[in-house]
Amino acid sequence: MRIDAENLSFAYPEAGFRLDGVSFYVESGESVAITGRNGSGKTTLGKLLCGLLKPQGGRVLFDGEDTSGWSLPRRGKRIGYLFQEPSKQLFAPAVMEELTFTQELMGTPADEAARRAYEVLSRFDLSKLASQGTYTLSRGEKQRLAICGLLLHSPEALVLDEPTTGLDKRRGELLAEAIRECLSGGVSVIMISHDREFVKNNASREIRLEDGKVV
Amino acid sequence: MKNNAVPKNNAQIDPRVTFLFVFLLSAASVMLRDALTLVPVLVSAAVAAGWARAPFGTLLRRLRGLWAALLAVTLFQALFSGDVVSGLLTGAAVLERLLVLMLGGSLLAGYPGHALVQGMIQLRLPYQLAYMVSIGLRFLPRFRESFQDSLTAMQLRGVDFRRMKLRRRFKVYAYLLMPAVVSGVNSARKLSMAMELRGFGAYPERTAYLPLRMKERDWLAFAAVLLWAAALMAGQILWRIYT
Ligand SMILES: Nc1ncnc2c1ncn2[C@@H]1O[C@H](COP(=O)(O)OP(=O)(O)O)[C@@H](O)[C@H]1O
Ligand SMILES: [Mg+2]
Repeated sequence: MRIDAENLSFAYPEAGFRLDGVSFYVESGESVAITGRNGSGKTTLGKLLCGLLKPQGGRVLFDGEDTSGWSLPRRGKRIGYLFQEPSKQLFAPAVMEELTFTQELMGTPADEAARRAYEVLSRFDLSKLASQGTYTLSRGEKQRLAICGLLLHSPEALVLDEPTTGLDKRRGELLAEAIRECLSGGVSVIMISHDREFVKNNASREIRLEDGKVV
Repeated sequence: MKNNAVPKNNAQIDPRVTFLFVFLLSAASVMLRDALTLVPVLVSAAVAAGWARAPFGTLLRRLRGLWAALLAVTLFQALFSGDVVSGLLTGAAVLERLLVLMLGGSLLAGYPGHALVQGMIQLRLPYQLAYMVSIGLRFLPRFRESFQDSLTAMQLRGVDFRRMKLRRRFKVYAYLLMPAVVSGVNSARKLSMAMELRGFGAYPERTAYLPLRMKERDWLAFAAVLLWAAALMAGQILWRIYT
């Protein structure tokens, strides 16, 4: 899916921060990195893209369609968002349930939901955690489980906020592989990251934010 | 030192007196069954809250979802039970009770946490218990936040709550409450571990920075509460005799 950000602006007056006139695009099947120092507004921009925050000016287009009036679930069906803090995103007490619960809510039969869940867990080297609880997972494991949750619903675009935090080299490589697979399926990927090497190896373009502006 | 553990907005009544009053209010609202006899309890709770300028409005707004749902359920039950009048009276009693409890809660909410804890300690409740209550209060907002995060995460996976049948929706909420509780309890446990590592609980008594002392007006308030309780009981007894 192609994503266009047009002239986005958003302010946190109490923090003295504003994102100002941010425009860029991401093609279908393209991977773009959003980089910048701490506090430059990367997370804020990610939230604007997936609808967690409403822009105070400008708009976000999905395949040319203005998403301004869209509900969160409507956007969520097309875009997957990895929170910067993945533990906030996990809602189930057990790893398997984390992946089957929303599928079943949306009408997938239980056995099919479980099959898909196992498949995506094995892609991220998490199969042996399938019967565990979610609270005792390490940060990196939570991160990967959250990404599994996004991929289950076959999104057309991904916004990943600091996806490599807490991942070792091998798990980072698994993530990169999954990203490449998504890209070849036409999914566009926006990765927000500090990790220079990961960005260099996995993004075709870099959008740099400084004090709420694209530079 | 001045007795500055007690804030101005509760007309500076010692929290222990308020504990007693709120306890009696709650007991009365649980023991009395019908809408009519609950009226004097409700009135006295409202008068006390008004006099103490308790933050009732804030509490009402915070618990909007809760009381709106209860109101709906009560009305529903009243209208579809065989006898509408007695159904409505039962509904009214439920609402009155709820209001009394909320007014009592708002009386306590007017005190800063440390004054409540100090009150509990000086009432000879174990101070670990008192601290647990105050820690619990502190974690409530976090609890709500985590619940909200879960809802958001599910919506971002495409789950549309507005299109869901009400029963199903409540099931999901119930399901989500569990992790919210666990994460709340986890944070509280971490905090208490940190406190114990610093020696919290090592001594049976604690020195208070801001000890509470009953002053004249506190004793007056105390007497008023006792008189009120006696009058309420006498009223109930007379009412039963004459009806
Ligand atoms: N919920 C919030 N309320 C107020 N200020 C916020 C909030 N979230 C972020 N900010 C402020 O906005 C600025 C940008 O934050 P963020 O987008 O998280 O930056 P980054 O992800 O690039 O580190 C920071 O100065 C931060 O303090
Ligand atoms: Mg960030």
